[in-house]
Amino acid sequence: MSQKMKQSPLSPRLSIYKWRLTMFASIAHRASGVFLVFTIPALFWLLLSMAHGKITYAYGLHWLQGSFGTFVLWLTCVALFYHMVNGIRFLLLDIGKTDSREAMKLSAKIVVFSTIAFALLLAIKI
Amino acid sequence: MKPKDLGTAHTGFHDWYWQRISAVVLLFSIPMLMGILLLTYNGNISFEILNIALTHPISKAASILFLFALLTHMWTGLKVIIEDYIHTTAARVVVLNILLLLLAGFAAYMSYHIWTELSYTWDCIPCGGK
Repeated sequence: MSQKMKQSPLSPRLSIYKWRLTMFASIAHRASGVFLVFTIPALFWLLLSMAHGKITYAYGLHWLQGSFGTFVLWLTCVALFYHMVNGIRFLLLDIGKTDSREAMKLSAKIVVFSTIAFALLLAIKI
Repeated sequence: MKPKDLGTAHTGFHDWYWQRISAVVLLFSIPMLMGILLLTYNGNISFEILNIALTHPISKAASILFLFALLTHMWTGLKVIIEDYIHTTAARVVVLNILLLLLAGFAAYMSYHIWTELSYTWDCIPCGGK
């Protein structure tokens, strides 16, 4: 790679921007996505294993109802809620429904605060 | 300055398109997965009900559809992240291919898991069907 190529700007250069809610919403979408890549396949595997045998059902339920299992389940639900609601926001952006600066700011607020509300509600209910 | 090669510029639209198609499939199927998990966690779904619900041929087919939507979404999402943060072409290609192999292996194993009703105990990993 030439010297000029090395110096050319590469995406994404996070450090040069001032932090804003829309930027947080976008990065949190990636972060929650990477987290879900590990937990969703694992929980899908766990649920199938629990459905296939009485012994695995008992072990799986015991793990889920333990403190670590409950925490994983809660965190996955919260990450998933965020990823889904923000995903709907991005889908709306793709079809041109929210492509103004104000609409993106407002929808970012709605997404972040509804996730916080959901996380608290689930922590109480779970 | 002309770009050295097109990279993935010629496949970008496919990735973008399939990411959104799989997103819509997951939008409907993932809440069902989490709903069943939470109800099982709360003790509202017994083994008998869970077994009937997830081993019916229709739900096996639905599980396979869910699995492939999940894998498509995982692949397209991780690919974008890897392409953004790994700037050296050689490293990027190696990481992407390792990821593709892992996902393919996971797809093969989970298809088998869904279809043959594998179960696991300390003595046998994994046990075959009934």
